[in-house]
Amino acid sequence: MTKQTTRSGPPLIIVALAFVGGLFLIIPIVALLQRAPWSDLGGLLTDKAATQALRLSLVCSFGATLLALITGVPLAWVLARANFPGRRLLRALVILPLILPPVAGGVALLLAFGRQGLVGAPLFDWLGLQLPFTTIGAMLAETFVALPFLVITVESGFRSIDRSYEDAARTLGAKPRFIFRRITLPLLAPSIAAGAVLAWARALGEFGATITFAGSVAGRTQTLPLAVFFDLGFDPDRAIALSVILVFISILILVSLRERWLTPLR
Amino acid sequence: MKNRVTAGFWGVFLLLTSLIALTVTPLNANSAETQPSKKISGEIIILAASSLNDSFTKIGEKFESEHNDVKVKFSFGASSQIRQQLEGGVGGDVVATADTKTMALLNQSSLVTKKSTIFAKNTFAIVVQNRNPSKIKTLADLGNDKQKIVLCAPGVPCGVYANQVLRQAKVSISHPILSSDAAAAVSLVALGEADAALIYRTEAISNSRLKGIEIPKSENIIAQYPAAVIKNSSNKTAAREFVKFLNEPKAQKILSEYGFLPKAEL
Repeated sequence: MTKQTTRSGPPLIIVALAFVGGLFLIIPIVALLQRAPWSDLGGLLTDKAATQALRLSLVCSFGATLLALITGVPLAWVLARANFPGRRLLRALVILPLILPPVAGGVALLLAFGRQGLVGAPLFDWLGLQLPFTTIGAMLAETFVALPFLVITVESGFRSIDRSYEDAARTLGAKPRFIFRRITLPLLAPSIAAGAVLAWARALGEFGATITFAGSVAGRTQTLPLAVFFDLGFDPDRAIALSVILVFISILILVSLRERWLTPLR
Repeated sequence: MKNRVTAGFWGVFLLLTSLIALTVTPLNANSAETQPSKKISGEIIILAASSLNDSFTKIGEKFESEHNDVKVKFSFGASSQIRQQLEGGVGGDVVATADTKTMALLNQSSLVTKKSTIFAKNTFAIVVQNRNPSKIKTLADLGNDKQKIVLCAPGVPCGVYANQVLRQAKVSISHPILSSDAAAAVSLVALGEADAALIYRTEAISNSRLKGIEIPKSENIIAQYPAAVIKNSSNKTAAREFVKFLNEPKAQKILSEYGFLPKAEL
């Protein structure tokens, strides 16, 4: 028998597995919301420790996004358009933190920028500068994991630009800077925006690299995810409340990226 | 056609099993079958404070060598975290915490069998690298803002003890690096990224790169370690035997090798 019969939905087993998979993803969120201390939420979220963690999370994640934009867009540009030996290798290395378990990234950061690290030791010995356990350190840890998201998104943006517009402008005598500002950048803007939101989301949720490299110092490096982890032991209600906040932020991100994610690919 | 039918069967089967799995609560399915004789067998899972990591691993080996049919498995973590796990329904056979308070709370929620026994005591020390590069000598030195000091988080027993020691010595640390449990606290010191940890003296003994600076008795604390059989343990006979073993000379010898104080002392 061939598969021509009907063009109905997927087979039952697929539907069943899809059901299981869907439930698996949905149930934990439902459990979290159902267990959330809704009536005390205001109080739990306005106390000093919670606001401190929230503020720090915003500072670090926006700082990391900014750093990612400043270095990531040029990096994407070079990867998309420059031709040089070792480009593929560079690309692979830049993407690596995307797959690397963040805790390993944290260890690597510690060995590079720690007090006794490759770059960190001279910084510390000569300038007395230490990055671990500082807010800048937390920001750098978040940048390390967030940057690749921005780079791959913007790089694919560069690649999808129809270069004939730029070529046309050039033949009409436009200067490179003008071309970038008036043609490339507007065409690239949606990719940069999407990349920045992705990078920001990744930075906001960062845990492994941050705790390994920047530790957990209240008010300095203890961001929301770290606060959740540390509170769970002795103040579970607050940990749940903070998790609920993270769920809502994620929903906001999803809504802002709906064009990209919520509509199926064609 | 046949394929479609079997696929359908498996689909329904999976659907049903997943539903059953979702509705039936795991654990405590009164599998506490009574052992016929004194001879114990099977597997026991010990949930223990992370400061017991090295000593318990050794004690487990000893216990296994005396009871050939028993396998001892460990899960180490902060005592407060272990309590969360047990409250959340994680199964196990024996629980050993780094303070009596956590055990009392476990008892209150009827998660352990009534009788817990104290099997060890511990005190605090300032743990530094062997060569002590920051030249820390007393608790007062920890108050120096330039030093990076690691403490356990306030909700973890070792964090409660640390705060007690600091209070007694009238020292305050403005930005401590918080660690999630005792074992994690010293790793940053061993790496040379933090200057000292205020933690159990036993942590210095099990790591050859570290040493402990004693704290005067008047400012120190005494941590008492209780162990108990978990109420819904499926291997209570073996569990009870393990708890008993902790107070026998063989286990006590191992504990003292790792720097714990015999329970009679102090």
